[in-house]
Amino acid sequence: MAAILSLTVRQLVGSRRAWLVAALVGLPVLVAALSHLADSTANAGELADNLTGTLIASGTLPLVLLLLGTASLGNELSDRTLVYLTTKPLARWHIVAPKLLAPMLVGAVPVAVGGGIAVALTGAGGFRGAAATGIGLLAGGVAYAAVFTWAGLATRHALLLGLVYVFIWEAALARYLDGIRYLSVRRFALGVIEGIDGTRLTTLERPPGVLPSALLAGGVVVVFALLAVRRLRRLDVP
Amino acid sequence: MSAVARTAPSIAVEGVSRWFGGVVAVSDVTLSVEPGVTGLLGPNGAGKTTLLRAIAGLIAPSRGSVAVFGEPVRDNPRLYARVGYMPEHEAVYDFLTGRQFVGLSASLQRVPDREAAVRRAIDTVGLADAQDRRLRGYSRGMRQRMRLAATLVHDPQLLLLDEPLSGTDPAQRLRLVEVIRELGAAGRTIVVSSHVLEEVAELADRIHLMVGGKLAASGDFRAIRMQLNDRPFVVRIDASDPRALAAGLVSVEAIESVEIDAEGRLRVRSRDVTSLQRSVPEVAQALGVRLLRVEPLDDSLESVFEYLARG
Repeated sequence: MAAILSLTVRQLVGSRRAWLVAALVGLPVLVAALSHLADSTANAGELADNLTGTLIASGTLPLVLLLLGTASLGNELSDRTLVYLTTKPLARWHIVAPKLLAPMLVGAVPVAVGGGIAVALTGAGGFRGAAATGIGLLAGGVAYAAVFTWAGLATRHALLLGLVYVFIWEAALARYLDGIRYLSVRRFALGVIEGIDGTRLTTLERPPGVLPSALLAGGVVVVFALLAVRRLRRLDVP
Repeated sequence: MSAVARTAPSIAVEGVSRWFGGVVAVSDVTLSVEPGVTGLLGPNGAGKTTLLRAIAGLIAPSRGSVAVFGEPVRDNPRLYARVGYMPEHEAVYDFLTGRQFVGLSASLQRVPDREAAVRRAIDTVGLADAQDRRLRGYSRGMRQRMRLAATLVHDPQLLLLDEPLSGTDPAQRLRLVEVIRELGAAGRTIVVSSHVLEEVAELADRIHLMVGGKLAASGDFRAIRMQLNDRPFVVRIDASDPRALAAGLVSVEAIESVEIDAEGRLRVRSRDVTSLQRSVPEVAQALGVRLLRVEPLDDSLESVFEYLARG
């Protein structure tokens, strides 16, 4: 598994998408730093919530994981290198696991760390607020990675479908239809943040709660990992 | 190992068909492959790659079954410890060096002494000098050879090589032919697909000939080659005096017929290519006729394969 993980990290970091990912990861930190320099401490809580709930959880986090997750197995399929992995004596989950892990490492971890730093720079919530942001974004990032990695294997239109999910389902419908919050990775991320630091996200819509959020995020990872394994077993490898 | 597995051929393909939507790529193919080098011959689009992919377990047959070493091949990854598959397409992880690429294959195959196995495989294809360069800087032929090294690194009992000589220069080709023949002589089972008759002639003693998704002929290469030589052969000739040349050629025993078309060109038909090649210039010279152009009309592989398929 280490060989495939290392290979995939190199693929993701070396791709053109990496520059876009770096920009998306750095954007919230840049915004927070500029606000910090402008000394806008009066609105620190609101700024931190908007950075977390709107810019990161609705924007940079899903976009980064969409770019990396769909590429992780999807690029191997489209450039026809997948055959070098599937013709080896490896159980299919030995291929899927590192392919899931790589976008988590390259995408979810930097976004989570960047989010934590951005919140810390706003001065809202202290260390607990920053840590809660990082942990919540990591939980969301891990779940997004699983969904989009599967999507890259399941369809050639994974990027498009991912954008529809992020911007139509999560950003639009899930805000207004309360039942959908249990089917929204964004809400799981916000739920974990709010659960760890109860003072956060007071200006945003009510997420499902920390335990359900964590369990649902974990469930998403398990379900989509199993779907990816199943897909790989049945796939016509080009 | 069970008694059944011991006596089973290396590859057993039973009534395999595969279609993609409405297109039938392989139709009801049954064949078996034993140790040694076997050629899978056919024109482009004959279904060779689809059949090889089915044998490699990369696609499921729409109908029929494939067994490798007596085991079903689809969704049976353990089997790949004994199989090496080299796809037709040239895609590689081009950001890796040649050595890293072969090393990756060795690592995924869990080869015990990885460094030694990688060195041996790269030496086998004669690319030690280029092994630390990135694959994106390789020529097509070098890439083919390094892909073969990655396929060989775990010393598989069965090698499935799809158009392995494509893109190689004559020296590289010679080297690869030598490697493949040595492996076959050492008891490996090797299936080499190609659309080039001469390649298969160099490599394989037995062939399976595919045309239009079907198996047209199977067996000893020399017997099939004789059928190829026996097929009618038509050439078109432009000459300074076509009528005089036609009159001279009809008396040649090896020539079955001579026609002159509306544009004044000769269409000469024979079953003896060697005699035809010798007699046309001889007759032209004897008659003082200048040959302007001699062109085989149906020498394409497709026509050869179609002839055999009809036969």
